[in-house]
Amino acid sequence: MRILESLVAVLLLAVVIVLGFQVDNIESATQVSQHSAPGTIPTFFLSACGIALCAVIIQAALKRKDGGESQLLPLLRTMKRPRRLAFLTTACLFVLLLYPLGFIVSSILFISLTILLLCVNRRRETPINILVTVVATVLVYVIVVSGLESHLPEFRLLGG
Amino acid sequence: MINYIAEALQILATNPALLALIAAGVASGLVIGSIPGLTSTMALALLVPLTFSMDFNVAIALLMGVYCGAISGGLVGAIVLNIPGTPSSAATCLDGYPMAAKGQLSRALGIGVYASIIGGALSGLALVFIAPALADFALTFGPWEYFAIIVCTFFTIASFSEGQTLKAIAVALFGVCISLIGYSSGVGESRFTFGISELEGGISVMPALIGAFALPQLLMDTDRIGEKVERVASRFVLRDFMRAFGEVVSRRWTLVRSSLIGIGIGILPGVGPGLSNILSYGRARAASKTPEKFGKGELPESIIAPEAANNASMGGALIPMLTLGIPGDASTLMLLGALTLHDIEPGPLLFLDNADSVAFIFVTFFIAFAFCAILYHFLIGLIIKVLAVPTQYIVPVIFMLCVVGSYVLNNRMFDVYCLLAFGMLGYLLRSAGYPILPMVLGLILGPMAEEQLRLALEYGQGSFEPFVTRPLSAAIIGLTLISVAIPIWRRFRHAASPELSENR
Repeated sequence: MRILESLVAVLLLAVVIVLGFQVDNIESATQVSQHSAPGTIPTFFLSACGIALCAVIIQAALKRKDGGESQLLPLLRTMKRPRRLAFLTTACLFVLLLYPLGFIVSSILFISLTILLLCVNRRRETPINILVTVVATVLVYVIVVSGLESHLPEFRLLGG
Repeated sequence: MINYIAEALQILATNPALLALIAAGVASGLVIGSIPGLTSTMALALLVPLTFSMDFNVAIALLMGVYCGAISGGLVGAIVLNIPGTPSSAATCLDGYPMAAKGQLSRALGIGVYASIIGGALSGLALVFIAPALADFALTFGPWEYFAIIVCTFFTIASFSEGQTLKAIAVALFGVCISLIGYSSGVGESRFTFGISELEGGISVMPALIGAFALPQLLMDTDRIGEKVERVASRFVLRDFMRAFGEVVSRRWTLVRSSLIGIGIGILPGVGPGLSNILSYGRARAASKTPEKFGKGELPESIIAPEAANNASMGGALIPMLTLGIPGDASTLMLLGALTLHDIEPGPLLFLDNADSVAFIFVTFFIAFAFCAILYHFLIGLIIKVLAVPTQYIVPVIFMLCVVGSYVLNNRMFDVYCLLAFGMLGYLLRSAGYPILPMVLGLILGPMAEEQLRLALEYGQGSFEPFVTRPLSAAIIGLTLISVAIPIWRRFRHAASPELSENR
């Protein structure tokens, strides 16, 4: 857990540093403040965050030095959970394909594929799988488009 | 305020559709809240974006119904499956399930339901009396006090994140840093956009909120698929369920004490019902003449205490959210997002500029609990059946609703990508043992923190001195330091004397 803890802190710190490099580019359109430059407050928060993240990294390193559980094992154990990985993959694909395939096609593919990958007894659950997929997709589409008078992405892969 | 409350009551009396919406919200909240893994936060996360195009009263009627229903519904999963529907019902499992396993399912459910409703109603009274007074007092606050309160909020959450204090502070500040992206009214320009036009307006808060809370939870929920669940076999009998009312009312001191604990914990930012039910259970056990009977499903007070407290936290959590714009827990964070979507800015001025909206919130809160009381009697059998819905159907449907909710806010794909990015970040944080709530709170309170600090520096002519010379600001900072110092001091003390840790 602690290597992961440090890795996450390093990742967040990298984001903070990237933001920090942008501070000099901040300009004020209004020039209203006489007591603080446009970058003063962002610098204050970015520095505070950077210090806190460094402290987390140091704390994790100290704990590691004291000994403890094997660091990478919990992460590997998490990654080995096939259902989590399957759902994360289908969720990412759904988000990426939502725009080109439209809501109806991508939702049908996403829900049916996810249920198929997650369920225990595939053969027995196929009819329920189809029913849940179709009912959920159609119901949400009707509620959003007709009930809320909003829009959902349409199929546009073939220039539609 | 009384006039506005009367007006709100009149609006509801003349508009049965609004009452029907509250009832629908409560019913769906009860069902969602009872399903393990589907928390009140998730229920609100799914619903808030869909209320965007609704009229304010319609949206609030629906949201308050879901909010009250979902927190109350958590007890059903705890009693029937020994898995709390929401974290706020964790302590209910300890005695609720053993009582149900002894063939007293209806009694256990009755005790839990009536205690929940009475606790919720008492917290509603606290909300009505405390919130306007606190808003009046908050009118005297300057930017120094506001900034000190925001800092205090971050540190309070951190001090309650046991063993994760430093990580909680770090991620809260990270949330504030992310909130800096986009347009700032203080400088009149966009910052940190890297030339991406979608970032000009900043990170959309609602998709980030939904992603950070929902995706990690859904990923964790997939672990439950295929697991064998010990389900209570006894039949539900309405007469036994209703008979529990007498038992609850006869334990009035447990009810009042637990409700007060719930209200007090609810007011503290970032803590909420999750802690109040455990604290209240512990207090009831300490006050009992027969503490050895706790955990065996014999005493009604062991269910009354956690259930009254977790529902009482709801009214308590609404107090800082409405008066200061600082949410008490993750669910009120969602409600805060909903108010902002409808151009209602919580804070002391809300009670002057939009007193009618505040009164409407108060009234719907009470009516939602009244519907809870009624609907539980009709729906409890159905709710018990819904608990059997397999997780593999729930997970993809909920994620689809999250995506749709994020998309319809602005009809742009960028918000959906934000949802996924924050979802993955949330999962990574959760896997590494970081709390998620402080980051999201930082994202929400970041713009307010920046604005108040800017004003404080302007009025103080660039000096930080007023933060410690103004009595109220100094008092808040002092309290903040104490709240951080106590857990650190305790840890050092326990580390120094191991026997203390053993006795803990």
